[in-house]
Amino acid sequence: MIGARQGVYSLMEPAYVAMAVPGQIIEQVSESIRLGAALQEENNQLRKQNLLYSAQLQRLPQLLGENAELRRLSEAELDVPAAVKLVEVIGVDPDPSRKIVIIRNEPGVKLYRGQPVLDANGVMGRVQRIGQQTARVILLTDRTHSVPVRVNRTGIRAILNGTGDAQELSLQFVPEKSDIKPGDLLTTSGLGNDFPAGYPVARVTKIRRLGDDQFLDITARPIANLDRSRFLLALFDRPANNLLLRPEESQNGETR
Amino acid sequence: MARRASPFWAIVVSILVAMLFSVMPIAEPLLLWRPDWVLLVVVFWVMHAPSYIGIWMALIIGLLLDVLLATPLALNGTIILVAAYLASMTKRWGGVLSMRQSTLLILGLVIVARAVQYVLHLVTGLGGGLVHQLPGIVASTLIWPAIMLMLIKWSQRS
Repeated sequence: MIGARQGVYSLMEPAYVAMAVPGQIIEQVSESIRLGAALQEENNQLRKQNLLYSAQLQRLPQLLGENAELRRLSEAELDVPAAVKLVEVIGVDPDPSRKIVIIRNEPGVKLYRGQPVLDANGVMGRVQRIGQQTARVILLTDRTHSVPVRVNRTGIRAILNGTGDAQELSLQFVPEKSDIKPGDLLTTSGLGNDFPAGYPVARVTKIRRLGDDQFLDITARPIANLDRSRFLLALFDRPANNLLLRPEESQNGETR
Repeated sequence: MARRASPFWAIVVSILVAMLFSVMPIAEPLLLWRPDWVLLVVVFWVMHAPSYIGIWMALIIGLLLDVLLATPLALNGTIILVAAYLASMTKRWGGVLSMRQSTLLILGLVIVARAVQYVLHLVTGLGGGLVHQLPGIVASTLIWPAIMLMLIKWSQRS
């Protein structure tokens, strides 16, 4: 059933590719008028490079925060920079109640379901459906999307849900007496199956205490430019605990 | 009366264009005003070329639209099926409806279709509130005369 749907989706998806063409032509023309071919080439290259660097920089605050802790652990693992692939946004979902963008799926790139997608500033969302030429990325702000996060300053873990609003996320299940204040950075916690730890997701904007609720009502604003970024990064990095979840691999682990 | 030109290609092209329009990127504030392009075009053909587009064809087109929009399968299928069924009932009135009558009819059809959509959204837990349906209903009704004028050339009704 899912395979059949995937097949028919591949039949229909040229519609998205076709609708992206006029915008691309307009952009190409205006860019070539503005800059000339040589400068344009260079500009493109720099832009891509910049994006790659910013992605690597994203983990810096969290790494700094962890530094003291890591120093105490003598055998800390070397942090291998994760592999990323540049993908282009070519459309958005026409339904305003959903927050989904359509990206171009190039043949060489092996996207997978649930794969984290970033922009230059932070986490955007994850891959939801993959076709032949396009893929759909569900954004943080979609009502059906959640990310496991932690407060960078204090380490409190929580779940960050989308609300359907473009600028508002809701942080769930933070106990009433927790140490959290507006401006706190939320980073991915690495729990769950999809997001590796340490990427910035959102900043806390408002905290409200509801009368008789044992949890705080917290809203946060995404750090990534969810509705403006044109080039995104698909991250090829699974969270570390993903390995622990597979029984056959933990069998011959060092726990024995 | 002379045989009219076959509407086959007009049907194929109009439905393809309607599908393109329904995924066309438009500015955020205008999103709610997007007319139900595919529904309108299918309803037109059900009324004006019933031997080509019946309600089963309408269901298939609705399912294709579901795949395109990645909505739960049969959501748009059901909506377009209901609208096409209601539209096909106008056959018994014979003759061609005037522009004003058919626009009124479309208003009713779109309201029914949006109501079905709203109920299905409630069931699946997706979609926005009831008020969010209004701009789409207005836009669909207003765009109908334009669609009708463009496609009436291929009408099979005398």
